[in-house]
Amino acid sequence: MRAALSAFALCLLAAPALAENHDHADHVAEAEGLRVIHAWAAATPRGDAALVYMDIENATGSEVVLTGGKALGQPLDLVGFGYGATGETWTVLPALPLGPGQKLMLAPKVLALRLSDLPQPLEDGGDLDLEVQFGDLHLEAHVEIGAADATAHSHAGHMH
Amino acid sequence: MRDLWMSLPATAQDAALALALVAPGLLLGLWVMRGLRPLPLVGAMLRRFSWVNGLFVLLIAVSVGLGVGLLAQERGLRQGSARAAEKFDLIVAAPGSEVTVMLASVYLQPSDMALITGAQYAEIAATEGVALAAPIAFGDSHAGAPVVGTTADFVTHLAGPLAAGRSFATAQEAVAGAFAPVDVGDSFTPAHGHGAMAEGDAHAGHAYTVTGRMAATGSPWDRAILVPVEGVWEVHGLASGHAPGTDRIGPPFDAEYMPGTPAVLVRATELWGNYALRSRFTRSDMMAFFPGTVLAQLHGLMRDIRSAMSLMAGLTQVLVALSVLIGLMILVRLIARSLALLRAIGAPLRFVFAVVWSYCAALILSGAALGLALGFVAARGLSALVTARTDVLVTAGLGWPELHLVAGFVSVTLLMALLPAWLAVRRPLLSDLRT
Repeated sequence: MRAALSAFALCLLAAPALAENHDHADHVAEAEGLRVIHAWAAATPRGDAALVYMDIENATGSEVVLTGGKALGQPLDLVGFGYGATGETWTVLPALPLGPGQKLMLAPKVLALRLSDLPQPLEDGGDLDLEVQFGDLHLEAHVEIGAADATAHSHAGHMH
Repeated sequence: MRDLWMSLPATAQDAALALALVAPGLLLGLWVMRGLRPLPLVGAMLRRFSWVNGLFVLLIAVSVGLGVGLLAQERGLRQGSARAAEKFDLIVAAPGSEVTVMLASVYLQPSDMALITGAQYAEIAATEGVALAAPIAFGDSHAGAPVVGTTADFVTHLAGPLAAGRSFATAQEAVAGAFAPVDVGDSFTPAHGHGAMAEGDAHAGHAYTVTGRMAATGSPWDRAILVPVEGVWEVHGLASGHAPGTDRIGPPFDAEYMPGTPAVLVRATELWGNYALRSRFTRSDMMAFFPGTVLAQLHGLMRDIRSAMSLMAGLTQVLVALSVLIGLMILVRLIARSLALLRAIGAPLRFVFAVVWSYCAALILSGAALGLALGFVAARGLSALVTARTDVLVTAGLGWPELHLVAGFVSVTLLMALLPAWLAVRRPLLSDLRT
């Protein structure tokens, strides 16, 4: 009886650790020193443009250039936010260099990867597989879909 | 259908929406008046009760005008504040509140702030891709106008070529904003601080001479006086930003002799560079942000308030129109004998119905048209007031949202006007004739 209880207690103790590993895998994509952390998008209806945000860390030791991405069989544009008397605009940027050791934050009303004309809706609680493109280097990332009015990843602020 | 709608230009979408909003009212009018000519009789009714009609029209007009004016003003303020921030690509400052730094550096609202050090400034200015790194040093004032230390390049970036005179060439010269309270050739001693508590004699012995005037920018900088940042440091008894014995102003500054600056305006050589620089300068010892982003977030928070304002404006108008229609129902009782006579001499019920509805429609349409004009005047008046109070140029005019509001109001109230018309034809003929 005592042994069974001990095993149960061990399982309980191990559960958070396993969950943490699962979270870590979901929230971080890493390859050759490049890390994509906390990729997320707000719920978006079909046909609209979805904006994908994330933090990128370059630990490759050399400059990499963020050029765009690919998801749902469609290319994603790198877009920069602007705001003036005419209202909000998103301008397509050709590419964005990221020096060794530098971080890049793709955030709402700043910078994003844009998936135009969504072939299917992005629903709250769902996810999306995304390929972030740094020239020839492609990194598979997992995008968490938040509420339509979300302003950050659900784990924003957590260290990974 | 959705694709077709999205493919239309914004103006076509707005026009289509306005048409869709006003269409129910127009179609109702065509249906009520089909095959009839009630307008000569309506004209006579309008003339006969001109004072009462005028009052009803005025009530509707004031209600519509207030709604239209407030909506136009809100949009004008939003656009004006965004326009004022357009020249401020990227602001770098010591870590703190982005809103506070934006208010201080873009809208010149004084605030105590930590400084970017000389070494940090030197790093920013030397970063590859930085085309302009202008210190913005505030804290002094003259005759109520902020005195801001910066560089000649910033003056050109902000307002283009000067409207008069030349830019500053020494630490004791200044360039006035378009509406600053000094003229070219004037000399003044800056006060330390702002407002009533400013210390007028704190910088005694130091004076600036105004050498030029900027063109208007539509921002609070139009009321400011811009001086070389070296001048600001010197009047505060600090190092000049250059090694002793150096007699020049402007960058590059010597990090060892640079006392620091509350904020730095950064502009990249390429558009994409601003985004890279923002990430680069966002770290534990400094922060970088786009004022446009902060402003868009603030305006986004106000979106709910804007929606509530629109709803309240619409509801107020409908309530006023409802009270006017109740008044018209009472008026219909006064003209009940005339309407009964019409029916007695053979006018069909549909004609009497059309007369009363057209009469109400004439008052509603006149009130709505006058309301639009009143709204335009109110928006202009409020704009002038807000511009004078904030120094942010606000130009509010009538736009599609106001036209949509009025179009919706007209349709709803024309529909409501069916009620007095229906009540008029339901009245007992004989008793009305005997009245």
